Order: sequence, then structure tokens, then C-alpha cells
Amino acid sequence: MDDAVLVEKFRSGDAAAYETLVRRYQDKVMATCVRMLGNREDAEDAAQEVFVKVYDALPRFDPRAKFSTWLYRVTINHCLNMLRARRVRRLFSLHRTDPEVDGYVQVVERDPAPGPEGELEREERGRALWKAIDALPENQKVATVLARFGNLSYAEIAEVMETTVSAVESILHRAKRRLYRELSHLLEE
Amino acid sequence: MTCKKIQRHLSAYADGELSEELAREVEAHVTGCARCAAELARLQRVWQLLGTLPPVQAPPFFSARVLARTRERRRSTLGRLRELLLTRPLVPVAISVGILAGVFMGSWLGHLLTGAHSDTSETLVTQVATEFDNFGDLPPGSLSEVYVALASSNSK
Repeated sequence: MDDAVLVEKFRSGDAAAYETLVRRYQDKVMATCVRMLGNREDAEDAAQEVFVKVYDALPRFDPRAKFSTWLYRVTINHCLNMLRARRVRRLFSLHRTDPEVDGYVQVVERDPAPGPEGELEREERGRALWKAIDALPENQKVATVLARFGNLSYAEIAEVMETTVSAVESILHRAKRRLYRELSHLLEE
Repeated sequence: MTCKKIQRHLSAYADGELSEELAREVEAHVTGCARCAAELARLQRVWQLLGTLPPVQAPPFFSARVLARTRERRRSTLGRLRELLLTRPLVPVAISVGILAGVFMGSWLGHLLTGAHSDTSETLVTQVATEFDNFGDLPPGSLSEVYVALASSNSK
């Protein structure tokens, strides 16, 4: 069933329509939160809060808008707010290391059938990748997460980020060049 | 097209986001330009590297937990309202009485203050006029002279 139909059903009081929307988008929202926050525990909490926000805001949702684009916008904004709050906490923290960020190792989920590379090396690589993504400027990070892990087209990313397609093209180009510089040691191996 | 212009489109070309015409142009340039071909390869390799991160899935019972949170939220909002109306019927009455008392007090105080203000306004004009007297002669035909003349006549 089409998203727009489900949204309309929910607005008319059909609670099951909301459940269908959650099941349809839970993996996408969760993946976006993990890549944005780098911590599985925070990501799960954020993804749940996103769906609760959606539940509250759906009655006021403009039916002419595309549901998935709006959902990605809510998700990205929520993650950016969490990251800003995390930065403020880190600023006032007495500890040098942020315990929240220690969890980024979990971004690389364990392969059930480990290859010759080895688990440790895989974790190291995952940590390096996440650190490089996290170090990107905010707009480059958002565009990278949406393009690489959300598989959104440039037009969809432009809609989520409320910008133009040519701006997205330029943002992603700069992001890839920066990521290459940060990760060249992994590419030369 | 120059290398500089081509390089601006390399990322979109690699992602299959260019129009057919522009994609053909980029392709033709890259075939004959080693520098742009190397840049394209770098962008493609780093994008492939990010793709080695395994896909993420929502944990088991995720949707059940979300639904429980929305139910809890709905229940807490409605429940608080119902509890207030059923178990403490005097609370809404007290709130209404409070609001009415507030409106009455506000109106009474407003009336009181407006009355007091009209009493003091004349005294204030007289004071201002007296203050202006200290400046001595004002330039004839100036705004200040007109104001002092008006203020003095009002105070009298």
C-alpha cells in the first residue's frame, strides 16, 4: 500500500496504518541514525524518538509532501540535535574521552562467518571509516549518509536538505575528496 | 570542457546522476585525460570503501517498542486529564474560580491605576514646564518654545 494512503488512513484514526509505516521504514531510520551518531545504543533511542515525533506530527503533515522525504528530514534533524547536545556535554565534561563515542566500534557488526581479514582488523577499519564520516562538516556528513547508506538520489537529498541538486552535487564531491584524504591509508593497502 | 569543469561533475557521474548528454561528455574527457581519470578512480574507490560497512537493521521488537511508547504517551496525556476530571472534580472548579478572580482583580487594579495616572498627569506637566523654565529664553519660533507655551497653558 502506498505511503500516502497509509498516512491518510492514520489521519482517519486507523492505528494499524502507523504500525505498517514504522515496519516499512524502521531499518532505513535506524541505519541513518547509526551512521549519523556512530553509536548503536544512541541510534536505537534516536530512531524510536523519531517515530514518536512522527506519530505526534502526522495529523499536521501536509499530504502534498512525500512521506519518506519528510521522515528523513525529521530523522536528520533529530540526529543533528543529538550531536549538538553531545558536543556541548563534551565541552563541559571533565573526562578527556567521551564514553558515548567509545561505542562506535559497534557500527561494524560482527560478520557471522569471519573472512581471512580478521575481526580485529575489521573493527579497526570500521572505526576509521566512522571517524572519517564523523569528521566531515555537517552538510557533507548528512549528504554522505543519505547518498551512500540511504541510497537517496541527488534530487531526494536536495529535498531533505532543502537545497538545490547542484548544491548537493558540489557538497558530495567535496565530501568524497575529503574522505579520500582521510582514508587514503586504507585505500593504498 | 576543461578539466576544472569536468572534475566538478565527476562525483555525480560516478553516482549515475548526470544527464545522458553530460555523462557522455565526461566519459569522452576521462578517456583521454589521465588526471581526471585518476580523480574519478579515487572518488569511486572511497565510495566503495564506505560500502564495506555492513547494512544496519532495526533490532528485534523495534516496532513493538515504538508502539508501546506511543501508547504510553497517549495514555499519559488522556489519563492525566481523565484523572483530573474524575478523581479531583474540585480542581477544575478551583482553576475556573482562580481565572475569574484574576480577571476581576486585573480589571479592578487597571481601573485604580488609570484613575491615579490621570491625577498625576497634570502634576507631571507642571513639573516639566518648571524644568524648562531653568533653560532661560528659548529661540523665538522654535519647537521648544511652542512646547513650553503649550505645556504652560495646559498646566494653568
